[in-house]
Amino acid sequence: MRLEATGVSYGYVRGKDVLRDVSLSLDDGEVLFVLGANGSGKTTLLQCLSGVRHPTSGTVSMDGRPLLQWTARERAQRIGVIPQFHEPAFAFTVAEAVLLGRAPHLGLFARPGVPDRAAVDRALETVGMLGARDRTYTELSGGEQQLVLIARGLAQGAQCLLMDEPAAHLDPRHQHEILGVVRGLATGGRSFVVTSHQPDSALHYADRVLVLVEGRAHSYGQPGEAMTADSLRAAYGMEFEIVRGESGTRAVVPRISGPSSG
Amino acid sequence: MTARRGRRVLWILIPTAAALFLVSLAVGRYGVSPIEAFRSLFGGGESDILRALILRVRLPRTIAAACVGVNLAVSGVALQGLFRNPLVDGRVLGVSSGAAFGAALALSLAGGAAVVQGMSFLFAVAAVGLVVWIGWRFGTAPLILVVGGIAVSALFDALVGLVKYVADPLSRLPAITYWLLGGLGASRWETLLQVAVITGIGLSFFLLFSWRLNLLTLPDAEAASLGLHARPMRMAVIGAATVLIAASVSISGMIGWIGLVVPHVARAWVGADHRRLIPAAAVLGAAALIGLDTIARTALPSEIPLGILTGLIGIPAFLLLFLRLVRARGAER
Repeated sequence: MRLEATGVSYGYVRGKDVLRDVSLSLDDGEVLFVLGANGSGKTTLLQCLSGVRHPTSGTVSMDGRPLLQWTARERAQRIGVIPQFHEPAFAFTVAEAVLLGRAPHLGLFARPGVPDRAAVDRALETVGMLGARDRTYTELSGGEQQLVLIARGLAQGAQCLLMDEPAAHLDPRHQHEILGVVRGLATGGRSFVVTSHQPDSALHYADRVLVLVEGRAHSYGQPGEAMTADSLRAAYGMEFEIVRGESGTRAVVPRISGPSSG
Repeated sequence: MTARRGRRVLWILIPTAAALFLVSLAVGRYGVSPIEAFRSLFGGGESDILRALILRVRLPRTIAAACVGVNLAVSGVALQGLFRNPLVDGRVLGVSSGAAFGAALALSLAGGAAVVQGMSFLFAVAAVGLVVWIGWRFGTAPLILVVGGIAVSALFDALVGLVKYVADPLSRLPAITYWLLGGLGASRWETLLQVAVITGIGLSFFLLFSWRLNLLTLPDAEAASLGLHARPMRMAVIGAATVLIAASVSISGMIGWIGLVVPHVARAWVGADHRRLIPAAAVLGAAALIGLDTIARTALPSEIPLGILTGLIGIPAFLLLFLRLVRARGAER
């Protein structure tokens, strides 16, 4: 499946667009990281990509057909959204929470049946959470909750998953565990759009990076091309350097001594 | 909380409710054994008088109690899920206040039982209609509906006050006051029929819709990302819950706390999944109201208004549950 945005703009208030003329494309097996400061339009971009918001201009299309021409159900069978926070009001079990992902496959009065429960178990097994299926979702740790939400997206059958800051509030080990699962699923053919405040993660896990600056795509391409001292300065208003460690891994390090005025 | 445990709870609840049903038929000013009551139901029993008493007076009243219990409990579950808030019941939408105004108006004009029932039903639906209209114009986010509900409730409460103020203080005012206290003493087959039908249809709807209720506990944006159009679904649930509550209020008057406490207890027993919660709350609600109404009409020489009894028992139960919830979550908040 190919998800494509062409010249997408979006404004909550007329004349004040938070997204301006953003274009990108995503094929199976790709992981796209979206970087940008708070308020740069990352979340709005995800909402446009999922079809929850309609761009004020430009189009988002799935397999060449504009999102608006797909029904909400067809869209949900292909594109899943993994929210940053999901605080349920009630104490559903893990299996019950993941089962909600089957909604786009079930009619109005239908109840989930054996195939749906099997899809839930498969999804939980894929993210390594099958053992927790009868535990209460609200009692899980942040990292476990993220994994369960990924499983919900898998149970949904979504080919493309949009994740809003999945690593926020997680310690480094859990961040890498989540992103490792994402990378593994991408190898299996799924595609991901991940918003992040961690340029390092983008270097490690992204196939492509989009750097948003005030709603505009400042740079877009492979991590090495899109993430430069220049684009990071534009994104965050401070100086960074990209350093290379002994083992060849790269890291983005802020240059504390010389913050720019921008 | 597995499905098996939920089913086990139901297997305990259903016989309990059935036993309470029989006990309720048996006890009263003229008490017999439950077995005798059971035989009377099928044309046997001691005497014609006993049979008439059970079939014409106690049976409709007990069925009315069951229906009212089912309606309040099931709609409470649905509304709590919808508002993602375990602390709401029908009052949040103005149902009770609307019903009270309708009934007070009918009583002040000396309307018969059918008129009172009809008017209270009508105004309960009208009150929620106002709230829904607000929601349709400004969004169905829980906060907007709750604020709309509070405003509409207050409006109808003021109107009830106005009706009471102008009502004839010797004949009409006492009737209005007693009605507002709530009770099932007036239950007869004639007034029961519509309510029983509504209970049957409403309960079936919520049983069929029970899994979707799980989805409606999601925030709108998440529901949308799962391909759902939350707004019409929310409206359908509000509509069904309103009709259930209005139907029960129209025969029982104001009966508080059942719609709040029963869903809590049921949730503690069978978990949050509405596929188990709806049937469990329905049976528990029926059992609770049959039990309470039996106490209301037998505990003292004269009948205790049911609404007072549910308050006296429901409020401590509610506080207990709420404080337990606070303690369980206290560390996080």
